[in-house]
Amino acid sequence: MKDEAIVEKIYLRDESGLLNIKEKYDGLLYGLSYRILNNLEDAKECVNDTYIKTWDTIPPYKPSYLKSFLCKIDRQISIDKYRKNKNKNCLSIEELDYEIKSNSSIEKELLEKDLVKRINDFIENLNFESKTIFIRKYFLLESSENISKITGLSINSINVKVFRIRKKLLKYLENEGYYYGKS
Amino acid sequence: MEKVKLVDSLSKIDDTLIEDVIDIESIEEYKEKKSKEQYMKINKQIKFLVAGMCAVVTLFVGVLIINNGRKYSDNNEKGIYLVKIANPLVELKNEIEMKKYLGFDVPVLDKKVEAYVVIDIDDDDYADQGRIIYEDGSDFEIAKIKNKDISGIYGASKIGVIKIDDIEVTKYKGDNTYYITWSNGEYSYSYSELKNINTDVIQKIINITK
Repeated sequence: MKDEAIVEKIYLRDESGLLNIKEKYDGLLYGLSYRILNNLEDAKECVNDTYIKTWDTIPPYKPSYLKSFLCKIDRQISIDKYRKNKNKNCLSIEELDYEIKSNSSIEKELLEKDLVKRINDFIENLNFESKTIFIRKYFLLESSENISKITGLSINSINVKVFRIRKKLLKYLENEGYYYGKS
Repeated sequence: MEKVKLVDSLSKIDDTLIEDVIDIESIEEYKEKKSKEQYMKINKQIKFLVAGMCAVVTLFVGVLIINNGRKYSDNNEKGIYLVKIANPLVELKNEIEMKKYLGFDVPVLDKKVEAYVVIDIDDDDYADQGRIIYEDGSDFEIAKIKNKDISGIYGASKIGVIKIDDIEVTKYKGDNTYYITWSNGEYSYSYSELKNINTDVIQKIINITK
């Protein structure tokens, strides 16, 4: 079933829309949660919470891109749970675990909105290869091995590029007036 | 001062950025999307180029018309055009970061380091280069490219060639500097000092780069 039709179902409060999402995206969401939490039960719990939040969010919100909408919710729920865990061994999260501050006094909500805009601008200006690597590594939390299979680049090459993009992002944010430090 | 976690901000990035790459499941799909994007970029660049050329021609004709018959003063100011070029020098914290950035080990001499730098020129014709600047004014460079002078020093005089453990090392003297270049396997190297580099020093450096 097409994503638009699934969104429409949920918008009209048809619960079978959630079943459609589960059929289509359970594997994707479970994989994402598991990569963050490395625990079957925790991952399952986060995916279920994702479905609940989706049901609570639509309506009034009506996502244009269902797949990324679901991934964003699942990702954040999983990261919040990860932070409560004692064993923090998701390398991709640890590598990007920075706190960002601005050099101007600004509310947290506005700060985050502005930061997201800068990150969007940064990613848009990357070439396709770098964009693919960055999003798959730091948004989807995929392993370098998996990214290597998709791009045809060696694992070492992926790791080098990941390191460079990360450095460039931090430098870019610094140039835009942000300060960063490890959490 | 308010703080925001970078990891959390990534959960809010634009959907279209994610959609561009999330569906790729094979190398073939990836290569197809990559070619498509490159094609669109080239098209965009050609359009900009054509628009730019039209603007230049229009401006040129306009200037000719306006200044027709005027005499130019020797004191006319010349236009200065600022072209924004990405800074290729990236400063890093230590040799571990250099290794992560370059993808290969960078040997470090037993003396105080002033800076760890990578020269990263976004061009396939240039190999990325590691540079360690020491507090005594000396400079060590390494690049993953065979048989190339990577010193970046021009106009120096060659003062000799010596062989150290089957490696040919060429010595040069510039205005305020002495330097050596050599290659070993896949890598080219350069080392410079503000004073003459004696054979013992060269031997020590060759040893750590083997």
